[in-house]
Amino acid sequence: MNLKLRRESAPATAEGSPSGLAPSIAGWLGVLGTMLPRRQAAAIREELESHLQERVRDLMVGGLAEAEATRRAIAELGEAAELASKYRALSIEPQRRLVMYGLVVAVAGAGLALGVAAVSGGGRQPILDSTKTAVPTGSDLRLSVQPGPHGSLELVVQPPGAGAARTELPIVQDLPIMAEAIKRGSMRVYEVQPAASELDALRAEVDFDRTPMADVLKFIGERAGMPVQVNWSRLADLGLDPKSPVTLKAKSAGMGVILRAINEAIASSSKDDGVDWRATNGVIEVATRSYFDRREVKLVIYELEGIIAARHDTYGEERVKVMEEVIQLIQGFVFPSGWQDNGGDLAKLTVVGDRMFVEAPARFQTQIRWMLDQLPAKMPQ
Amino acid sequence: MPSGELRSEDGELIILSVLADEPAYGYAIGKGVAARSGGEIRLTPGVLYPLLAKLERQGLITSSWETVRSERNEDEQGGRRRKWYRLSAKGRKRLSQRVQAHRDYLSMIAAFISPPSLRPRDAKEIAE
Repeated sequence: MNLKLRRESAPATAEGSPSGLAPSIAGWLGVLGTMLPRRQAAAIREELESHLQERVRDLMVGGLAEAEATRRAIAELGEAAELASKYRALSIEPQRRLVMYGLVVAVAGAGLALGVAAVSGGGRQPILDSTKTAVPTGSDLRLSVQPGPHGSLELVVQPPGAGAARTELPIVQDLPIMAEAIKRGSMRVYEVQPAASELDALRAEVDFDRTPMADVLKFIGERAGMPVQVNWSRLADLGLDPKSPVTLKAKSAGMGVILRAINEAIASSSKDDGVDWRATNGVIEVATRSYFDRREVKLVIYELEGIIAARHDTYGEERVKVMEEVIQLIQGFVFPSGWQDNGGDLAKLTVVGDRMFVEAPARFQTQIRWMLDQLPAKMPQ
Repeated sequence: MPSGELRSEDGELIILSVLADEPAYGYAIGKGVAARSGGEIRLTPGVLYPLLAKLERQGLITSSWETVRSERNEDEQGGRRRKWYRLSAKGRKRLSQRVQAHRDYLSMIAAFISPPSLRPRDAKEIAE
């Protein structure tokens, strides 16, 4: 499927705000708008914009300067992502709800079979699949019931083409039979979202000609059917803002290709950092690579006993020398500038006995694992 | 009552009660709740607005938009808009049920915590 970039209704920016809002309010509303259910986004934003204006005015009457009043009014509303998630929880279309109820009725009808399958484990084959039953869907959603852990059942809602990233979906809890089942732990409900790799594989024809970055990201969100949460304050570190121009013409571009185009445009000024993204919990999050790195730091312990033994047997090398070589190899090839020993602040490494403790972002650990796998190791006897 | 610990069902009861008096918009509802409770109950906007959306979706309240013209923009076309909420017939019925359920609950609890000289009937009157 080819899609052309739609240029209308760009997210509000400070300059683009029709009512001359403070930039921070316009920015906050812009971020919120990208995460709201599309149909209600405009109305919700307008209502909250009105709230913010009145709150700022009241706080100023109370003696606060405009900047502080604005900051406090926004803080009272909380994190845009959290607020948006509350609205999203309300925004399940009646059709989808109907579909789900239809499946629940079908589940009840097949109760005995389900019980037997659930108790016996039954593998991961769907017990009930809307594409293979007479369940009245009325939409292109695929619904299936699968055996879950501990004898529970899982109801999985899957849009066409979506992959394996599961998000717990509380939307059917107002149906008493489901609420009870969920409460008892005998039923779990998931919505399947496109996984990151699949999101990258989503292709579209694009023709960005100095298109504002906010429009580009909005386009990606529309294409993926997921809200996009942009951390503009982090992107500002790279000199990017919602109006930063993006130029890319391609017959088939995924998320990775589009972000590469953005990164190439800023490469001269930010060699070690760049725009990056994650798709989690049904939201595409866009920020800087360093931001995600710091969020995804983990401690991993690597056993080097086998490598030390192999080097000793083959070359007669002592343990200390082997360790030095391994450390040199890792810190010299795996994102060298990030290591504390090299003057960076993203990763550190300590050796105790035959074990190497590495505290570093996930992408570092992936490469370290790969490099260690390339070194011959003697299997323990 | 500790502020910020309001349960969703209590928030619903409070909002329906406020709107039973007169139509109001979100910001006014929040201020009204704080004023009526002497500042003890604060419906933060992050709770208030999604709750209003939920009540509207359930048909318990209805809404309409009103254009606000401030001194700054009265000469201009358009202006900021406010979303006003009103209690629907369904909402009024729900409020009545919730108030009765709440009073029954208070009465029941009062029967346990009242001085021995007070009968449950008396306690109910106190609760009311």
